[in-house]
Amino acid sequence: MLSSTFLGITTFTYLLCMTLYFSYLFFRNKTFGKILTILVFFGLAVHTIGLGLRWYESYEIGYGHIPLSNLYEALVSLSWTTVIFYLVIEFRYKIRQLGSLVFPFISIAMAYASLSPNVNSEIQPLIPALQSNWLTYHVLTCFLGYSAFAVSFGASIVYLAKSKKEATKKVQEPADGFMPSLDTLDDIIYKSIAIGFLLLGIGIITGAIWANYAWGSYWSWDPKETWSLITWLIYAAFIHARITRGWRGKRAAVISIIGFCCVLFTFLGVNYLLSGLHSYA
Amino acid sequence: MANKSGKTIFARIWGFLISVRLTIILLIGLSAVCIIGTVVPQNASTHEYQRIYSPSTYSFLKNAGFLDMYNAWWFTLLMGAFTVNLIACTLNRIPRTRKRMSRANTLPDRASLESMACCTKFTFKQNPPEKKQHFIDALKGFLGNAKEQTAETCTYYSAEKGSFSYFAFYLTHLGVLIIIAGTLLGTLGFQGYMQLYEGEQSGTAIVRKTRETQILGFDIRCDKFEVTFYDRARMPKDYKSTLTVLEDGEEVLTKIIEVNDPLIYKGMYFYQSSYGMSPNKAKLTLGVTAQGSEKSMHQHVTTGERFTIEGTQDVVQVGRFIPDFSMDGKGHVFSRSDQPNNPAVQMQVTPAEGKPYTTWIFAKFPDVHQKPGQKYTFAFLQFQPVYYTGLQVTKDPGVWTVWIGCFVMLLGMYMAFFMSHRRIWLRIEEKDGYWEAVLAGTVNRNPIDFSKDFSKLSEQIRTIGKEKC
Repeated sequence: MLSSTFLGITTFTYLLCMTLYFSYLFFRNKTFGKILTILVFFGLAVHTIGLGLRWYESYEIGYGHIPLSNLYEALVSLSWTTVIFYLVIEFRYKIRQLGSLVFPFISIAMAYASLSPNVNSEIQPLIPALQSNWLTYHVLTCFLGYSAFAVSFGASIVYLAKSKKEATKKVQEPADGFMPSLDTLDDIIYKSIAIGFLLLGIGIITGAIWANYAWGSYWSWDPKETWSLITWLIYAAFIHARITRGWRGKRAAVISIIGFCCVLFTFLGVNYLLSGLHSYA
Repeated sequence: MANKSGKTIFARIWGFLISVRLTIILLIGLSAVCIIGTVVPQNASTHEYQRIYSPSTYSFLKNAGFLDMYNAWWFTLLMGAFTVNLIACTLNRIPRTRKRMSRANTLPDRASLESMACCTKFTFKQNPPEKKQHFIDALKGFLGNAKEQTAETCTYYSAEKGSFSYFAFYLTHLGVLIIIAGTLLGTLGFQGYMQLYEGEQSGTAIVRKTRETQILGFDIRCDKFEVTFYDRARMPKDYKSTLTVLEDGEEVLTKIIEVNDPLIYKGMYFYQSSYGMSPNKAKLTLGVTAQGSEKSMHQHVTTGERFTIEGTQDVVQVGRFIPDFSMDGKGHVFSRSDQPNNPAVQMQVTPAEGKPYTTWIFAKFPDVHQKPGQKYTFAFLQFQPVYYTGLQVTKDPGVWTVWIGCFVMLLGMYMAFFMSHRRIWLRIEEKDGYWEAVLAGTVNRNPIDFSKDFSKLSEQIRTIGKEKC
């Protein structure tokens, strides 16, 4: 299949991006950074074509569905939304350093999807329960939310590393214009979480609307459903603590990391460890 | 009632109820118990629990309500506390918002401008009236509107945007309360199921929780059930039931339902949830050949039926029908699936003379088991399965309330995250032949973005002030 060739090139490109983002931290060269961003755009373009082709191929076979129906497609699509969200942050804040933390996740997800024997990359038909337009709205909003949380997680790690470094040196690092300041990182953490929180909220609600239409109940306390709610509640606690009690900086970074662990469990852990209605996802 | 700190006990309780600390405790507490709910299987069978847990663990979990956690009294209590906290916090905030709104129209004096987080001071050598419009335009460019006010010795140019963002808090919390109200309304409905064979009709459903019979007030008939499969994969593509609603025996409505497309009638939803076929209802066609005879005769039967072979006194009883015949290690017959992959039927022959005997016959393997010496040879020629459709029947009067709540909550959240109340003042005062200008601004959230925009504006104002006219 042509789509798998494209997605293979994508995986390779992202792995390259990851190593180059690491080297960027050492070289700190602006031109190098610009070439790197162009490479990410190239990867995203190939990725988009790959996903589009896969969608098209599913029609050729006679199944005809958006590539969001099994773990392989979920990982590939989730990587796609994460690259997009990452690029938005890179442009908005004009910093490339987060790439070294976000791209390992993206590359691992892509590589795991294509190489792991546990993940079936064949285009499979949709079971009747998934044959609905809500599949697109529900999964896409959830994935965009997850991507936002992934970026906030990356920023939190940088924040903690940087604040530890500054604490040992007992002085604030001079703004050399390379590493983002703690305030900027804190802002990225909060904004990504705010966006992720809203998107996951929409994802849960579209899921509820769909469930009401397919299963006859908008909420069934299915493990995946419940874990998405747990994740949402944790971030809700974070937002309340921040707005009313002024939790910023380190504390915020730690909660954001805990929140992202919940996201990972909701996305992967539930499927491997718990059973329920979402067993196909 | 006053205690040491001078507060009444009610004031202390109120103080606890309105605290965000309680909100955070409740949010984390709810998450924690929900985790337990995903690890301990909910509402599983006793048999299943006995397999996983030791008797003492099982009885502990059962008594503590962990096996039906989301309906346990303490979970309801937790949700109740959450609701009370939410209402208390919301009510408590009203006076503060009112104060903010009433303060909105007063002009801040110089000292309070200088104490604002964003503030720049300039000194202009001249300030001819032509510049007025430039200042107003600069402010307009920043917030979309601007006005001029004159106080005793000075002029104020001011602008504001997004004052309604204060309502974001109320909308978000109101949305959550509406959702909770919707779920409470939902308890007035029911969730049940019904099974209908093709051609059958019924006016009742069985409620899942209580196993009681729920009268629908009309009849539902299943005209047809169909299952289709994908060509390439052995996976079901679609389940379809043709349902007809009957009121007092009159047909009102017919709809083909499938997964993701239910029948809706009088607030009740009928979902395609399962299907199956009854081995006992399948229509079987058998061929019977007497030993030594060339002639075979056809017999249409269902399981349990008994027939006498024409022209004899020999009786044949049709025994069990198995759609997917298999045997376990001990020789017990069982059906591997509901699908007719290997249909088999048991025949019990009682001849008028001689010993009775039993034999299995297979549709796909006609030669198996037909021992020589038996009086009759049977052939399993055809069978026609009779399907039933499994319908989920739901009535939930709270669904639309929940959707409205969700919408209000999302709107509130959007406003809370992406809108802010931005205010800006430019105060110009003449002093000893110079003009002293103070540009100051406040914002209720996202201060970093605001201060970036503010510094751009203050550069603009500086340039306007310097310009020679």
